[in-house]
Amino acid sequence: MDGDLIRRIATGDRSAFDEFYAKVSGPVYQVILAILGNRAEAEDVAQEALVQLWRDAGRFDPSRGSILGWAVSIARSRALDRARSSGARRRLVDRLSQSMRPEATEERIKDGPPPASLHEALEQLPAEQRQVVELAYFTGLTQTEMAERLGIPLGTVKTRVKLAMEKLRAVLPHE
Amino acid sequence: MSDHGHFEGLAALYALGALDGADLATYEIHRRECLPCRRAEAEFDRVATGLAPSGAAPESLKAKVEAVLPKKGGERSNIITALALAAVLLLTLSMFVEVQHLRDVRREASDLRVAQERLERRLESAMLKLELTIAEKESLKRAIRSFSDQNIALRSDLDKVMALTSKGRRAVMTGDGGTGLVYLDPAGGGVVFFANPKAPLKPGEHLVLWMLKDQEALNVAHCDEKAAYGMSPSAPAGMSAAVQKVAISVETDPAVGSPTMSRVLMIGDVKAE
Repeated sequence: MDGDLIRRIATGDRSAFDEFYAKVSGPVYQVILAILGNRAEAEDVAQEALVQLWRDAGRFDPSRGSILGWAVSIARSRALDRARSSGARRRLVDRLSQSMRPEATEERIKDGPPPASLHEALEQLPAEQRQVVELAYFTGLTQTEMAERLGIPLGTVKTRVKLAMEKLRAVLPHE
Repeated sequence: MSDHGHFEGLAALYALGALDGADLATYEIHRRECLPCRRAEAEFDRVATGLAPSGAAPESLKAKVEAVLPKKGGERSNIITALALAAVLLLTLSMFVEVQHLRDVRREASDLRVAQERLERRLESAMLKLELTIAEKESLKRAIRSFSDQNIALRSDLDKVMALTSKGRRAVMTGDGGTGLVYLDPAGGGVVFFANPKAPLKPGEHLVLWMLKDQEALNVAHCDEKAAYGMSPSAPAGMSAAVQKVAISVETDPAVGSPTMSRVLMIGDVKAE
């Protein structure tokens, strides 16, 4: 499916654009907005990312993942580059490092209904686990940077990330 | 944490782009050989993709993207395809025309070769004829020259004989190794001799020629040695006595017929006695 769409894009078939845009534009824009926190700036970066995706479609290998995954990865990378140069990243790191949302208890997770989506699962994660995932994903901090930033051992960061990602993986729909 | 559990933890960090340092190098080596880790990594990638907040893009974004995309890529592709097809058609057509032209040229060349061969044969034939003609011409020239020479000599001798015989005197040829022809001149009524290289008259031998008023009376075609000595039936009286040794051979010329022209072996200069 993705392979066919990519082939059409690679040949310059503009009729594939609508399909491509409908498939990726929402997540692309939203992840950029989440990183930059500014709609106008997010729209500019999203435009750049989508044009890059359109032009680089011929290099995409469908066997290595979905077209949506590739698009989100490119968008996130572009947004993080912009955030580093604009100072938005620092502000986001500060925010995510300091403001812990109400922590979901292990009991709540155990007793409540299972999460229906990945976002619901993310909300149900313990705050410290969700924090490392969000810091890594939305600010681009590495494990070492997170350990320094949070003042915790590197091993703790690894453990939190692993636990969080395994919980999130558990709610993925089967392919 | 088991070894594989350790690497799965690294795979989770790798999918988030948070792996760094020695762990990153270690995992990248490990993942090449470990299929379960690559599978786990693929699932963590799906998690990372799913972490993107849900929601739509603003309406204005699509127009902004379309504004910077290549214009009507599909149409451009179609135009390129059409141009390519047209080029192929044109090429095919030109190749067809060239092939036809080539065939015509080959046919013309073949015709020209045939015509050339025909002309060469005719030229060879003409050259051969020309050579033959030239040879014949040379041969004729030589024959004419020879005939002319003989004619001149004949005339000279004839003049001498005529001068002698017309005065009623005998003309005597003295052999010198040459030969001659005797010719009965019907107009002049005399005997003419001229050189004949085939039968030499021995040195010292003589031929006596005489003039007959009635030329019909001398029939040299029937002459033999004896007759030549005698010539009794028709020779003028007294002439035969003067004839000394003479070797005469007579043959009739079939083209002229006997007795108007005969060949007589003889030699010598004509001298008046």
